[in-house]
Amino acid sequence: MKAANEMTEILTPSRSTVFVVDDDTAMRDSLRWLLESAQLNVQTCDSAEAFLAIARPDACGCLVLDVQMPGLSGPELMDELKRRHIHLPILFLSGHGDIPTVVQAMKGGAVDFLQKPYDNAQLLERIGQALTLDADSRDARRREFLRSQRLEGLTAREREILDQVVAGRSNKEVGRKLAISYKTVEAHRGRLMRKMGAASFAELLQMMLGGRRETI
Amino acid sequence: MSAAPVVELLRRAERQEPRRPSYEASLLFEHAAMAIGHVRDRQLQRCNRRLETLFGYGPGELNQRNLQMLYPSYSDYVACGRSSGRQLERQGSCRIERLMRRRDGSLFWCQLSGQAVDVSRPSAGSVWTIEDISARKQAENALREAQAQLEQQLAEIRRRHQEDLARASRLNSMSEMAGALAHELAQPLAATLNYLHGCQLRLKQGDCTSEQLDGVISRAIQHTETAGSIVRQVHGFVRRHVPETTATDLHALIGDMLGLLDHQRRKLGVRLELLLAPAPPTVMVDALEIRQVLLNLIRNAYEAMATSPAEQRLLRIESRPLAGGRVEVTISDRGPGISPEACSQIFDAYFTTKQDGLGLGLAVCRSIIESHGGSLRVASNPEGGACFRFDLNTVMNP
Ligand SMILES: Nc1ncnc2c1ncn2[C@@H]1O[C@H](COP(=O)(O)OP(=O)(O)OP(=O)(O)O)[C@@H](O)[C@H]1O
Ligand SMILES: [Mg+2]
Repeated sequence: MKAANEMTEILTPSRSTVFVVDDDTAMRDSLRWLLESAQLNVQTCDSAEAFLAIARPDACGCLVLDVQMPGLSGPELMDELKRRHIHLPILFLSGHGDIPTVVQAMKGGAVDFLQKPYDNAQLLERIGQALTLDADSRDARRREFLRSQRLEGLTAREREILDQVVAGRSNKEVGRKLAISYKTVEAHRGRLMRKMGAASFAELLQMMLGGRRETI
Repeated sequence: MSAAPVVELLRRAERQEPRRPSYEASLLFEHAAMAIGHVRDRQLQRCNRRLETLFGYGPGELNQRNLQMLYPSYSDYVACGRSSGRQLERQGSCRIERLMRRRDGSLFWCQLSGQAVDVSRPSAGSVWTIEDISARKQAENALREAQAQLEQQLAEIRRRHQEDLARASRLNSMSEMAGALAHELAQPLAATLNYLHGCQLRLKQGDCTSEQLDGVISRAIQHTETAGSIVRQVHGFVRRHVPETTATDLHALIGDMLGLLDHQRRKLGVRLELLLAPAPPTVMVDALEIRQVLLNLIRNAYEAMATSPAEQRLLRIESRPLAGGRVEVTISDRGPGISPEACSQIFDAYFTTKQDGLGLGLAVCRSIIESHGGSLRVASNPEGGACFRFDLNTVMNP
């Protein structure tokens, strides 16, 4: 069972925000100006700790992160966010000599990086990509959440029949296998389709197979 | 040569034949290679031909003449007579080196050796031998001059050597700091670009007021100036230094160097504690040299703290007015400190405990501070670590 606050995150997405975490005042201020000029919603923090204080699991958007900061470093903040189930995509702004650190961090998840001095068009494009990635994965997580909720709503028999049907067996074959009548199978099947919120068999299949392939 | 044998002959002659010296004595007197004269009551009684020629006079021209004519001036004549008279009375003989005057008025160095004819009888007068020592004096003077010149050259070589060391140390600092400096430059440039691109976007969308733009462009200008100042500092450090003394705000120099090293500080997570005198001290210094001193000391402090526990990393810079219009700057770190054995060596050129240190930093710092009339000392920080302290003269505000 997932944490209650994560449920609210999934059900009530807030407006996308670009969180800028940088200890350098000039960088924070100028990035805010640039991103707001590109009509993005911006929130700035002067340290990883300050961001953790305001970060909520329902935060949506992306994180633009300086690699080197006093206190928690960028990669350390990333680990902490993972621990707290805050899945914002991260865009590292790396300075001279930070590459190994960033490459290490990239193994850990939704991470991109730009080396300073970077091209601002590139920065805006990468932020755009990160926001799309966040929206997509949020969507996927919402679907997965609904699917597992609905699966939990099925009876044991309905679950059994769902597995058989998804495995590609006909109602007749399922009836034979479970030693129940074709009519009963059909009735169960109609009920489970309704409970899963699938309008067609194709939709049900996509929900089950697509859902299984999804990783969060 | 002393006049003693001549006196002896005179005496002997007097004993044997009270009125006239012996024939041998007269021969010896006349043909001696040295100028000889018999003086009584400051008058030449007799002198040999050698003495006459030495002073440019003809035969007999000096007999019974007062000595004054052989001195450069009357006061010389009086002073010399007084001091030699005293010496002859006291010890029977005296030796003087002084300038004397020839007949033609030219002056030359002489050595005068006098011997009382009879110490108990001053009226018997004294016998003098006189030697022209101009050549020796000239040689002595030439030697003295050569020595002075040599010392000057040595000082110049030493000064140039110090300059070369200082420059090598500056170049090395800059090359070691290249990465950090690139970062230090990247920051204001990136900020400037952010501001300007933002302005461009807004101008395209037509959604900004001119006050907004003005504020943002001012900030962009300010960052560009920061970048420019870093470039200037680096340029100052690498180009050949022309010494120049100017009235300088010491606190501004401290600020400049902290700025230049800020990347390193943030990277190490060193906290900064500035305890600066309320009135910024103005010092008459070569600004680049004092920058170099500050840079070396602060870098050493950061490097020393690289291995200290993170929460312990604290750099304190203090400035304090001293009596007599001096100011003292103290830079304290919380690194491992310096052992008493190492204390005697750290200021030596080429002493280093670092993998790629040149060991020039502190040697250069000390010579710079001393050339500014101050001193640079090390002590242990009571809170742990090392603490370097130097003093400079300030310009009194009128
Ligand atoms: N703040 C300090 N704390 C501890 N040790 C220090 C400190 N400053 C200097 N030292 C010691 O003194 C030595 C000489 O310092 P110096 O600055 O002259 O040369 P360096 O730092 O080794 O090399 P460089 O010429 O690159 O500065 C250092 O190697 C170090 O061992
Ligand atoms: Mg050093």
